[in-house]
Amino acid sequence: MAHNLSHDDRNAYYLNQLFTIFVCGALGGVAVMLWWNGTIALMLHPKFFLWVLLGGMTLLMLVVLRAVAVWRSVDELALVSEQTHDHDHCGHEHEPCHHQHAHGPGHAHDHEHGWAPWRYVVLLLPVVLYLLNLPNQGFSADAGGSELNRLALNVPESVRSTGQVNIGFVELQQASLTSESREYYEGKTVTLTGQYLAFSPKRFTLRRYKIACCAADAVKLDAVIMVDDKSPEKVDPDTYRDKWVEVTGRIHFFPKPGSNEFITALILYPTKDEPINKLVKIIPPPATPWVN
Amino acid sequence: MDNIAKVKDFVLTFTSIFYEALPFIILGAVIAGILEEMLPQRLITRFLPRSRTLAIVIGAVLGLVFPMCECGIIPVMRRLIRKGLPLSCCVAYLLAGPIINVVVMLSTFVAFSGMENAVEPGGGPAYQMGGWWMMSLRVGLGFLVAVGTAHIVEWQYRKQGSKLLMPLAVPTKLDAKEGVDEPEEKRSAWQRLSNITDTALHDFIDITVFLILGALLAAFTRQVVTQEMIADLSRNHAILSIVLMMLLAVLLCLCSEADAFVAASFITLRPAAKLAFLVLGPMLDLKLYMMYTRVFRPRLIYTIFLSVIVQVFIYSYVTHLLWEHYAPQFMSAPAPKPKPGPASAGPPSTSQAS
Repeated sequence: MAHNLSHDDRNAYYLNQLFTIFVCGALGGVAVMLWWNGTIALMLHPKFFLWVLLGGMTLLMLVVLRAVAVWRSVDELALVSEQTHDHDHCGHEHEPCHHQHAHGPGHAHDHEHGWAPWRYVVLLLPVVLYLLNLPNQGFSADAGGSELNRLALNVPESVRSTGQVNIGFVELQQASLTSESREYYEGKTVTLTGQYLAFSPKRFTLRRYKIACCAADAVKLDAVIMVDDKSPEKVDPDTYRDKWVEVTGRIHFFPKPGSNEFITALILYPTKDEPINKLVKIIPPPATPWVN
Repeated sequence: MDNIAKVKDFVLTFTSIFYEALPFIILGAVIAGILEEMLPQRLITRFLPRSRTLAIVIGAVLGLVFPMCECGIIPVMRRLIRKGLPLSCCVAYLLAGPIINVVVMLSTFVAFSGMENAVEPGGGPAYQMGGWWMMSLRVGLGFLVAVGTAHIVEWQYRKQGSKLLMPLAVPTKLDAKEGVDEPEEKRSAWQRLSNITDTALHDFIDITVFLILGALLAAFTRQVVTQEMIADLSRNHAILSIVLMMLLAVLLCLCSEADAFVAASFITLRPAAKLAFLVLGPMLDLKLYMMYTRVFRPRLIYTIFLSVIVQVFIYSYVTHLLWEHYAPQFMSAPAPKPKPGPASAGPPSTSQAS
């Protein structure tokens, strides 16, 4: 029964309850705040935003109910302590006589309520990261390196202009998969947005990540960007490093050496009207770094 | 790449795994709390089929009716075992549930639809699996592995009993007189609510600690092992590619709804290796291992993992042999399509997942 527990057990129980309430409240609050300030867009696909909000709110609701229950159990305990300590009719040591599963400091539980502070330290990690404003951006441009930067590719003599298209990274990557689509898109002028990944003043990799659920399943969508060999213009790596850029060029597909895949590339043809800084424009990072 | 960028990427991977799983752990914990408080002790055993094999099979396809993800399922399972659901049925649901459910089946289908049209550079068909094939084989193999493992667990449980379980998962002892239910004690609504919140928060804390440790481990390994490394190593080696994709599934800790899109991004890898990745991932990864430790003793965890790994490898390799032999016979080479006209033609259909 409740008051048969030692003073230390009771202290450990209440300490555990208080820490549980505090940590769960903090985690619930952080989940709601991530939704509120939009930071969740850095980590998850939009289909999970509402789930995170609902999860955070549910946790906060559980915390409030638990806090009231613990508060009331202290009162009940005080009341019981004032009464007689002779409860032999219960017939057992650690179970409250009124019900077998009333959760108070003396209930007969299989829970492991032993005081284990290390667990709360681990649980506070996401809260600490939130307070440190982390994460505050998508993946860095060179996360996991770039396979494309290892390949030797020659700029084609000329890619004949075949018109303009308005497609995104995903469609362009898909276009590289079949010969019909490669043929269709070859030479079309397109504008793509992504992160600049340095290689040389005449060539770089444009990177975008596609996610299905969260950043952990991010798939790299890389495109090689090459400046026409005949043009004297260059893309200075120091100016563009770690920046988001908007690139306009003609689509070309390279067969990937040693593989049966094709690499998507944009060849840039700077002119007087459209110098290189117009074809490769620095832009602010988008609110969500992913394509979905 | 500087160290600050590395740390930021690590934090991003960790937090994304954590916050994706968090709502489902909370949901699982609330369900666990309700089950613990409201589900009468003998109700499950009363409705369970007498044949254990049939019960296991039902457990394996239960995800079609009660879809749960692999993280949220763990606290629920622990409470169901306590309430008398046989361990083997729980293991069948635990392993197959994240694969055999409508959401995951649909995402697998979408990720691979169109893949059957992939061609080699020379124009010949690449004989990749399309949406129907990948979805059906994933479900079929997932079912076989889950049912096989559940039978091994059943055999172990008969020998070892509750020694295989952590104290919190050990079934509660029933009343001494067989067939007689404990009299339900009257509890006020507030008392019940209080008990539900206690169990829910207790289970949430208990499982989330290990979710965080697993997510940290996964984020760390992702910094070291890249998809390109696996793709490079496994090119043109069937057995090696299956083994490496299984290893990748364990390290990446992806949720079963998303992993098909990652598998589909390995465009040129042979389909059986992608299948091995898709079947193993929802059953075994670093984060799941950490969370399993809150339900099962190490002996049972290793039994389950060994059974799952061996079965996934064998089934995937057999699939590889059959597919590579028979696919060229029943998959006709794609007919050459007329060139799109210069003005009127729209872009050709490119439905492959990128």
